[in-house]
Amino acid sequence: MKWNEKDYVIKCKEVDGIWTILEKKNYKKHLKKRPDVFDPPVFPRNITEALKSPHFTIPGLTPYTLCYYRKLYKTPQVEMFLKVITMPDKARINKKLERVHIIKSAIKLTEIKELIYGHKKKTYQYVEPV
Amino acid sequence: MVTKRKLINMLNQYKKIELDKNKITNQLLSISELAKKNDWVFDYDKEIDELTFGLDTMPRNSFLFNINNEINLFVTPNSKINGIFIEYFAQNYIEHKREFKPILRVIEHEAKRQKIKTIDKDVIVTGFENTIAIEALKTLAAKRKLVSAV
Repeated sequence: MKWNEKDYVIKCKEVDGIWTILEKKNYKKHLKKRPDVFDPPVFPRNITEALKSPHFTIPGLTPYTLCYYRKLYKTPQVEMFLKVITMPDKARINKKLERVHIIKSAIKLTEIKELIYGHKKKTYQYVEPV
Repeated sequence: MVTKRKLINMLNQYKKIELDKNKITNQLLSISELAKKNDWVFDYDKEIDELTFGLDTMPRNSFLFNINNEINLFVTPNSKINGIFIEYFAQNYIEHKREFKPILRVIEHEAKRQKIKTIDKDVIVTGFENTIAIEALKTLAAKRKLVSAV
């Protein structure tokens, strides 16, 4: 499939160097439902930061999905994470024949359900974004 | 002079919000009416197993408030409920509450804009809404304050 710059709103390399995109149609769908994540001024910085410098990643419960977790804040009551879910796009590879990943969803959550199901997380040395 | 680092830190400040527990409780007690009155719709993504049941377009100031490890509510800072969000709906929530498996059929039909027998749909959806409300109310009863941040 040919890449069309107009079709996506985020295109960046995630923490392990995989090209990851957010398609415009998916963005519009999520903007209607989750303005706290997909509305400017927090968007798109929040999502690209979670992809580029997550605190940890963990495979999702659904096949082929990968979840990027970035801690947003901690209060005595809650610890809030931004979770970005991606999966490889069956139809898209780039010029280097690398599989491109697409952002399926992003949400602010306090629970890490994948850990309850025994999925192993991969932690990263967190680097404060510049 | 505000440095770039200070500016980023300022942007990263979160505002604490305390929700009105009574207002949330009262809305949960009549969640079926609330859903009907505001034309809540099902939005289910099978690939990532996420369910949103609520307004088609959420108000710009709405955010997710975690009730327990299953149920999240879309609320506004003035404690108005605009929807429900459940992560891993089929794989986790429905697996633990098999009696609600028919709700997946309702969601599937709604997505394809197919009609199913109205009485069936109403019974299934109302049962689902009431179960969510009861579970949420049980959790809320144990909480003194409902605090989040945006």
